[in-house]
Amino acid sequence: MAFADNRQFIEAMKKTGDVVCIKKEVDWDLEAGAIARYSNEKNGPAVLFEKLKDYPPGFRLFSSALANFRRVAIAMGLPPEISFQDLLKEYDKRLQKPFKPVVVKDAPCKDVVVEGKDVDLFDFPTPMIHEGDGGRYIGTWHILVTKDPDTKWSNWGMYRVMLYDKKRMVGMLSPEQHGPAVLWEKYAPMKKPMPFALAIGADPISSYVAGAFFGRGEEESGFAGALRKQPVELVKCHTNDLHVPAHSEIIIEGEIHPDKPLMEGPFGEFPGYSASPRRTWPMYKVNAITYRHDPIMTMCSVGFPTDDVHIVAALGKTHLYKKMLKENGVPFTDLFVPPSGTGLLVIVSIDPPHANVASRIGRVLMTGRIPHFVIVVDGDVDVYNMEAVMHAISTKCHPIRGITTHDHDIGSPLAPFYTHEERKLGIGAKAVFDCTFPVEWGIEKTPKKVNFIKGYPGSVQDKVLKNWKSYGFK
Amino acid sequence: MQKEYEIYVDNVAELPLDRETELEIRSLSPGKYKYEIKRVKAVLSASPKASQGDLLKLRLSLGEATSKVLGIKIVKELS
Repeated sequence: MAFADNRQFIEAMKKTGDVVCIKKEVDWDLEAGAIARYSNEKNGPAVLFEKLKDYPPGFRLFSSALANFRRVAIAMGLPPEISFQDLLKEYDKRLQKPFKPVVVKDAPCKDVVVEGKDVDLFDFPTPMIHEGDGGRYIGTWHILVTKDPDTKWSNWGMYRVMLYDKKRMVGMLSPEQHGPAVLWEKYAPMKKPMPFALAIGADPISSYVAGAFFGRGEEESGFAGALRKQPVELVKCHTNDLHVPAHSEIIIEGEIHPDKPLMEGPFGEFPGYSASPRRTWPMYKVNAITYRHDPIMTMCSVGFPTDDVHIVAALGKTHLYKKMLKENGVPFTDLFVPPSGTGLLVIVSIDPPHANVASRIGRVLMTGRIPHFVIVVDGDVDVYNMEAVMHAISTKCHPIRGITTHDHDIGSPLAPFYTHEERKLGIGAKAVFDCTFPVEWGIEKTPKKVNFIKGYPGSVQDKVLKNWKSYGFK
Repeated sequence: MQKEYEIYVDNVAELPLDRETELEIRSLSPGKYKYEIKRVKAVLSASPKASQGDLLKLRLSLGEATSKVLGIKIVKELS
């Protein structure tokens, strides 16, 4: 059975030792963020904060739900020790067949209903995550539900959201992202606000898919069902016709006003820096909040790898980029988005079928805003082995001819290497690092690799391996 | 009791002093409403004591705190 909510997921992780439940009072103002961050950087457990300063008993905070592959495996009902490669295989397989969600009438997320003048966003222990953040971020591990007014496509996204005051929030909504694109392309020209629902504390897989990478027009709720192997239960919102996971902890309902900007940021983000300058983004006006008794707020204390965002990027983008190469008929051996590359970098291995295939790979993968760096290595390089990848970069990538740059491109406002102005405008550049020897060199001119596999005949390798212990090795 | 507020600025020198101006500030008062943001009309002064009002701390646009503290007298809270 799939986990219906974070409560069941936390109980399961208590049994496997993957969560720490802190009963001692913790300050929502930086202390909780610091605890979760330190745990993330140590590849430590998820954290449930059971008592938060200034908030009544029962109002809890859950952090780092899926900050390693082990916890993703648990959330998918797989053995925690599964390898990344096997996890990815199962992930790819399950996504082949989306499960249509089931709509229910009653839901735990409506235990308590607050609306109109009684709405107060500060009634929940929203953390101040990092020192210097522009505000308390209520949306860091959540689902933002919006709907296309023409096609009725319902999008789940995970775009950061900051508290502004008791009834208003503000968040980064970049036009090239799916949910925000509907805001800018459809609602803004009509001068109408876009209804939204912010679902906090849905089951771990539903939150995961909101942050992962699917196509425009594709329903994330179906993919969540597929990964859970059980349909997600949805319920209609209290004040609009959007549907949210029924077992979510907190639902915030309202409208996003593209013509009413508020200042947002800065915020410590997934590249490991606070890099996006404070600027205006659309206002979220809140009309109602519904929540479960004793609600559990969620947090991703995002920053230097590895945390939930890097894990979502590694699994989600590895799946997506493989799909993109296959759909474009580009042959490749393997592909990996390493968590340490924060999602900005992808490694592709290939047995080059023709000259400049690295450039072709780059063009296919760089059609979106990310990745910024495409590293192309030969098929004998293990893309999961960063030492082997570093070796390929430093020995096969010509410092000039091996690097193809793409200027005047869209860029991430979160990428620290851009100028202050580029980050404000979301413009930038990308690069392909071709770490394969040119095919036109032929066997005569291509340097020969010297390692155990390539440097010795098979018969010698077999002999050495067979006699390894007899030489005195353990 | 003197209250503390904070403001984000691109440049510390950009804030107009000794005249009424519109600002977006956030509360640093302890409690559950800490960091609530307000738009206000206020008069800033270089000397916190001289303002006979509250304190305004300054942060740069990427979140770095500065050592500068101004006086702030809030004239009106805006919506």
